[in-house]
Amino acid sequence: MKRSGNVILIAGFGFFLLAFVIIGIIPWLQPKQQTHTIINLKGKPEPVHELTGLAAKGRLVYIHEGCWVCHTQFVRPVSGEKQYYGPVAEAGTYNYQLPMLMGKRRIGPDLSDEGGKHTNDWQYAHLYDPTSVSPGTIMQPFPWLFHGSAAKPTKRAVELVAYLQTLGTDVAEGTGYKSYWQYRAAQVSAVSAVVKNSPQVVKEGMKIFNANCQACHGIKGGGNGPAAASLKPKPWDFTSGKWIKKYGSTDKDIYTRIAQGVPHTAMPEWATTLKPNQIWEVLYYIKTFSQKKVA
Amino acid sequence: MEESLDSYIDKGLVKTYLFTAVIWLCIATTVGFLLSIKFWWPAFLNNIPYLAFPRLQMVHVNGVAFAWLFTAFFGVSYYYVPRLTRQKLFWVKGAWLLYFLWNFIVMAAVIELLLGDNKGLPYAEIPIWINYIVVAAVVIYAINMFGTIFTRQENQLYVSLWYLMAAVVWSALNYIIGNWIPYYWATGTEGAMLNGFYFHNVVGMMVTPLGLAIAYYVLPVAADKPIYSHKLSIIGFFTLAFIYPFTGAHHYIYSPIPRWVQTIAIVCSVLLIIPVWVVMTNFFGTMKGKWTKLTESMPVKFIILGSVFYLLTCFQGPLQSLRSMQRVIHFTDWVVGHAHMALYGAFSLFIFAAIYLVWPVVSGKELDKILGSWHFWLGFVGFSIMAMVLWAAGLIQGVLWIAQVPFLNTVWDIQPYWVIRTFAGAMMVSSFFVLLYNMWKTNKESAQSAQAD
Ligand code: HEC
Ligand code: HEC
Ligand code: HEM
Repeated sequence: MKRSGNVILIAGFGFFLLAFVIIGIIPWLQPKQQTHTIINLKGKPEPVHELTGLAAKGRLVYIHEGCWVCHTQFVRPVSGEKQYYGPVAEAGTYNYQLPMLMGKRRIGPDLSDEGGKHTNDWQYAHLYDPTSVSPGTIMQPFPWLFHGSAAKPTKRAVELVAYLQTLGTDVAEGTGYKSYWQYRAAQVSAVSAVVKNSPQVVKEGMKIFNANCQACHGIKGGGNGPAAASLKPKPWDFTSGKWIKKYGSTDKDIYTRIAQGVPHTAMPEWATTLKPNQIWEVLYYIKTFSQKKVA
Repeated sequence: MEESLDSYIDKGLVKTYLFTAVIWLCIATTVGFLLSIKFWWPAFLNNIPYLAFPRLQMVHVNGVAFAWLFTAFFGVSYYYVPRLTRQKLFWVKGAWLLYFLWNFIVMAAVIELLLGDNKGLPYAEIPIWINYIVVAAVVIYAINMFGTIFTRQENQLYVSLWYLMAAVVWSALNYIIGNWIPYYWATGTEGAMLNGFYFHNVVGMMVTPLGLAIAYYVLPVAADKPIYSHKLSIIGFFTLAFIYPFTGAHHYIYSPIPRWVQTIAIVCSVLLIIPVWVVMTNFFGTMKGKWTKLTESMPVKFIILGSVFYLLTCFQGPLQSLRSMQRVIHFTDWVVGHAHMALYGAFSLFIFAAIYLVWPVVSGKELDKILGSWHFWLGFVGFSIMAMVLWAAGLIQGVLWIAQVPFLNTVWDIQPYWVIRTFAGAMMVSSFFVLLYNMWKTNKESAQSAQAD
């Protein structure tokens, strides 16, 4: 009867190690799993850089502060993630990373392509008090990485932001752009008036506005939506027919504003959410707010 | 005969282990409760670094897994192993040594995680120096278990003991693979593969066999009937041993790890239905003709409810691993609901069943039935609500992400569900405190009546 005990031990070891070899070791030996090359935004192979200096230290801060508990770094080829976050995850991106930080849970958005999406100042303000730039966010603030204000980051905050700014920048390598976001903004602003103004287009724009913008800008475009109360500066009032001077007031300027957002305000970058034609549609719609007043 | 079997057991040892385990359960789930508040009230306790969201999350997860489940698994095994082998524990001093070592590990881990020290690997967060001590602890436990089993006086090797022996081996291998290799050597996608391998095996090759060992022991004793089919027990065991270790990569579907590895994981995840249904046929078969026990016996109540949740978990698991399902639910609250159904719904309930069976023997007095009912119903209702809202929230957020809704909007949309989760969680946590009080009270009254005699 002692035999059955041995059978179990052998089966236990055997199956487990078999599995370990098949799904643990064999893939490891495949060259594709060890590559340090990725396909850049222009479709060309490009070597990945190993993190050094500040960014490498910032990665340790990212682990220590547990950012990986809420954030993934893993864009899937499905579910519209490419459109929302950026290029799909490739093996090469990860193969210098130890331990890997792909993550398992999105309490916050994916950060694979965070580099270049926001300025350093935005990142400091966000880390010090996330609600200052993302009202209503549930992100954990990290004031202990600062000397009392967002303007005075500690060494660790500087390292962390340096790390964030490298995320996903390898895909832009060799394309003439610094990051995916710069590339994308250029794509977006390169679009000229693909959509002509028409009543049909304005009607589409109204739908988009009511779904995305009215919470801040108000259903009548007066800058007084339900979410506006807590915002500083207040969302823009479209009924005046005036536009923020320093950004210009041609259609193309306004287009760029909507696409890229207004820096240091709650105004999001809609290029990450809306397609270019949708931006045109909503643009033509918000212009109607001031016309009504004139009429 | 009952009396003589009891004499193999070190009652003080079992009592101390189980009581400690339930204390850890209360602490770890209270942390989970505080954490759940942060989801809808982010300003709650948010300016103390040691109580930051990620740190509490890690303490909760590691706390319930290693401090509650494993302490309880050890404790219950010190009860059923001597009885099934008709042999005193091989190394009682070793069991006490493990007790102190394990509690030291848990406390060290809690402090380290609160200080922010973590490895950055899901489920393998505990810092590496503590991992060495865990391996030492597993070795001590292995010596004790194998020592007892290999010198046993009972010829038959009951299925609980198979699961136990296999689980000890798997735990040691898996723990070493999962904590060292992705931390020191396996970079990038390879690290992800081994991390998936490890953290699914924590549930599948460590918690599942140890939990089933308990269920296989408790059910026949509580229902007062031998297990339905020995053959099914064997089939259940070997299919689990063969299929489970291949499923790990289903946590990284659509990632750049090779597609064939993902496919193996999906196919095996679906095949997992076999061992589960086999085990459940066996359990429900055993209950044949004994269903009246369901209303009379606390252990039977917990085992049967646990079995139902086990069945549901392992129906949901294969479903989740399908690519079409992954598109929506991956990264969302759905998965969190699934994790709670496995670890609370199935395995914690198996342990509760064992506690209701074992505590009267080791403390000398039955546990209070009314408090027991409170424990059962508060936990059951609380958990059911929590699971429902998590699945709903997961689906909603998953669909909104696909619709390209800005991230924060999707958060606001599911915040009401998170509020309900907190209240449901409060019911669960209070059920655990009821159990703790019940155990403490029973023990005290038993000691008093012993003095009075
Ligand atoms: C409680 C979970 C949580 C933790 C922990 C957390 N975040 Fe966040 N994070 C969020 C949420 C939710 C958002 C989305 C709303 C916002 O912008 O604040 C977010 C957004 C972000 C963004 C902006 C993403 C974008 O859209 O460009 C960055 C950058 C970021 N987090 C970095 C970090 C870093 C670095 C850490 C660790 C120091 C961290 N987060 C920890 C939840 C979290
Ligand atoms: C979270 C709140 C919020 C949402 C949602 C929002 N905005 Fe804004 N918007 C603002 C704020 C704040 C400003 C900046 C006002 C300032 O700088 O004084 C702004 C500015 C603008 C401007 C700049 C005006 C100018 O003169 O250049 C435009 C155009 C604009 N928003 C359009 C939109 C459109 C279109 C949408 C929906 C697709 C939208 N906004 C959604 C808050 C919001
Ligand atoms: C025995 C009981 C419990 C067990 C075994 C348990 C287990 C777990 C596990 C394994 C996770 C990780 C899930 C994942 O990463 O996918 C988790 C997360 C969590 N648990 Fe529990 N838990 C229990 C009770 C509770 C209770 C009572 C609450 C109170 C509300 C709670 C709140 C949470 C929260 C808020 C998270 C984080 C979820 C997230 O990451 O989104 N848990 N728990």
